[in-house]
Amino acid sequence: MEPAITTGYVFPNDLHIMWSLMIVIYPYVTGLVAGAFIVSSLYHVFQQRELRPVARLSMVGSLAFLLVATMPLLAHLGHPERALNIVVTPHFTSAMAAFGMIYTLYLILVIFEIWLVYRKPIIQLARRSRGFKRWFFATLALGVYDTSERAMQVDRRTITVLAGLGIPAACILHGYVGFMFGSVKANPLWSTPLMPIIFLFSAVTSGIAMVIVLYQTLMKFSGKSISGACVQSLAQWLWLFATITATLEILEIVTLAYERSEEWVVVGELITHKIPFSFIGVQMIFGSLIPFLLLGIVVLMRRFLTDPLRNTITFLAAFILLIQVFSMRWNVVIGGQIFSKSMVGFRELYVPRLFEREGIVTALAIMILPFIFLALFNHFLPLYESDQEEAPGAPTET
Amino acid sequence: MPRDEKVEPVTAPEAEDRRRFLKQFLMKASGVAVLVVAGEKVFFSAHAADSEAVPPGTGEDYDPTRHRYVYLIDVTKCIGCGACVRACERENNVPKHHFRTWIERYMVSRTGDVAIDSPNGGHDSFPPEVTGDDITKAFFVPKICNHCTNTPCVQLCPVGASFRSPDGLILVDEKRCIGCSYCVQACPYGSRFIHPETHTASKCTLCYHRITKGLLPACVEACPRAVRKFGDMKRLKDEVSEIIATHQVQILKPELYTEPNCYYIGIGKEVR
Amino acid sequence: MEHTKHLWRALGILVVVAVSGVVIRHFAIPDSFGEAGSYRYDALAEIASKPVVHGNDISCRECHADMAETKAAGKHAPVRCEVCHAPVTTHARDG
Ligand code: HEC
Ligand code: HEC
Repeated sequence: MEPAITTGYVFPNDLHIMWSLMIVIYPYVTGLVAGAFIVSSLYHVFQQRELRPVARLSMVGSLAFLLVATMPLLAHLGHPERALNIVVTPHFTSAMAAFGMIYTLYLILVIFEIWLVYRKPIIQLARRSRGFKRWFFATLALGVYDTSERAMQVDRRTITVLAGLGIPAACILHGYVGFMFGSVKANPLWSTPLMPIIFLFSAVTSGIAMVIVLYQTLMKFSGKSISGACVQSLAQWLWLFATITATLEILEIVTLAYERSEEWVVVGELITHKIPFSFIGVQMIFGSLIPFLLLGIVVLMRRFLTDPLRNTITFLAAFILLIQVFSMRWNVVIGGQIFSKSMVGFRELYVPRLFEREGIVTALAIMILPFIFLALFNHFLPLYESDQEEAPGAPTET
Repeated sequence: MPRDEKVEPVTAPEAEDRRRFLKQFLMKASGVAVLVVAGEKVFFSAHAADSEAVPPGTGEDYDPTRHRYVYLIDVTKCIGCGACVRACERENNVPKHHFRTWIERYMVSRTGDVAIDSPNGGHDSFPPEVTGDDITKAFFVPKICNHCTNTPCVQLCPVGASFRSPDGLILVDEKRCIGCSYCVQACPYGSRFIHPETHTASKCTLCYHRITKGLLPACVEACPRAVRKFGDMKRLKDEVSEIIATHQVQILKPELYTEPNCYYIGIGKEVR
Repeated sequence: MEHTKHLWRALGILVVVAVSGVVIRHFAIPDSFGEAGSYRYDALAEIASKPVVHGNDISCRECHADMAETKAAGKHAPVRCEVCHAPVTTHARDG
């Protein structure tokens, strides 16, 4: 590696950015996992009935992103073949060591819940099809074709319990990601107890936004009508969480600035001179202010909006918020590494390359995979409930 | 502080551990000593006779629990020649543009402006600096891993590849390290890097392969001004322990409470 | 409990997976791990057995006693031989 262009005094080992685009993607993906799950729990646990059209979508969406959550890490590790060391000999004083366990537990929980939700359609498919497909779905049903009212009732109760357990699990899964950064005391931008909370709230924001985008797209593609009540409710939740997220993000910086501690010398310089575009421009003004206004219109001027108008505004706001959360991850992960730990110098600015192990193409591939999974899933087991299924005995009814 | 969270069957009594370590050590380490150029054994044993610098290690019957290493850097004596950086590079095969030890130059002007540089880590010594400022004081600060007692790098290592050895050093197990570079993020002193060839974390070991054979770390050996001193707290009449006990010594970034085992004499507020 | 057969089957699969996970993990733990802390104790001996490169001035004195004396008398007395010359282990290997 060549020496990099730096300003000020940078520790000689601090020349390059160690955590690259992959580590930006990683909290982004786990955030979507946690956020989407929370949406499904709003329906299953908090009885937000108007969210019913997205209950399945958000849960399967959570799984889709969960399945790729380890990929950016593997692409980043110097020795991906040793990745399992993290579960074989976990070092429990490390936040990262918990990842193996939290991930596995959460995966089991989500798969189990989805399986219960889709048990009836799976059994129907197994009954209907022939050959390999029949064998496959019979195995998925674990050979039990019990769709009696009593069995469905048991399933529904279990789902509610699992969805309830899923809320703390989702919070831990993502709170831990925030903690991973918040606990690095060598880094003044990361080292704040606010970090896990900021990560959590922005995770929920991104999750809701992703569900809005997915739902409207899915409905457009399958030629169904979009439920206005559902979008309205999602928009309200999104407004709440986006506002809290932006407040927390600003609070962190304001506190640092106001304390005028040693850290602010370097963090202030970072924000105003190194990443003003992605921080002030994208994360704060474009990403937070504009969606706040847009969603404000949806929430406060509800009576004056037609369904298509509401859907479009919400879609737009959700899309911008997805960018906002990504830029927040970028500003934390990359921004936190631009200054050297000497606190008087800055490294070269990081621009990911198109083709490299941790480059843009890899990132795109990882981000596209969940959508392919969702499309495949939808092919066999619909992500939305068809009208017939709303008849008594539908699996997700509580 | 040994961490022992793992409840696994391997619970050999300590004496047995030690014997096993010694056995392996004899097999591997002294094997190497014999292997290298003929007569090298002589140099190592001859060293013990050197009255100026009695090495704290005890040669072949090495027992890690009987040592507790410390390091002392007297900034007032450093001339920035870079001999230590070059010696370290050769001794440990340190890759280009990465440093297990490096030297920083501080130049303070009358107005209080501090200019700091470390061209190539001080490997090739320092070019004359021509700043417009009126420099009123300037000094060199050699840096190594601080081998902190309360170190964030070991705390954060997810797989137990970074660890604190019984003799008080922070070492990296290259065969377990997964290369996540979390420890690189965690080190407040910038002492760690990811080795570009092994893709594992790498750092100063205080020349563990030397000190366990009774030799001094390469940087200490190379220093012509005795800036760098190496000591052992568990040794009687240890020069470094004596200085630390009786003199004003400083540590880097005390506010982070990492409890470094690398002490400094003569560093001021400018030092990072 | 009636109508809960599928749940028990799922649970059974979970238990099988968990048990095999624990068993595999048991065999995957390296030998000396955990003997003195949460790390592989053998790593210590491995690091200690890295090849030594530099000697010291006494090393050189064994064969270059005259030079050692010359140096000791000169202005460069505190400078180690290996600072200017190559380290001892790379030196005079097959004559
Ligand atoms: C085992 C004995 C031995 C030791 C120990 C030894 N040398 Fe030598 N050295 C020799 C011999 C023999 C030669 C002559 C080789 C030749 O002429 O090809 C030599 C040659 C040299 C030369 C080159 C002289 C020339 O005319 O090219 C230098 C410089 C030198 N040694 C430096 C050192 C230094 C510095 C050390 C200590 C780090 C050292 N030697 C340790 C045996 C030794
Ligand atoms: C300050 C740098 C420096 C140091 C320290 C130093 N040398 Fe040298 N050495 C030189 C140089 C330069 C020459 C070449 C001188 C010449 O050719 O006249 C040399 C030449 C030699 C030679 C070859 C002499 C010859 O007759 O050709 C030997 C052998 C040698 N050194 C050994 C040593 C030993 C042993 C030490 C340590 C006790 C030592 N040197 C320390 C710089 C150094």
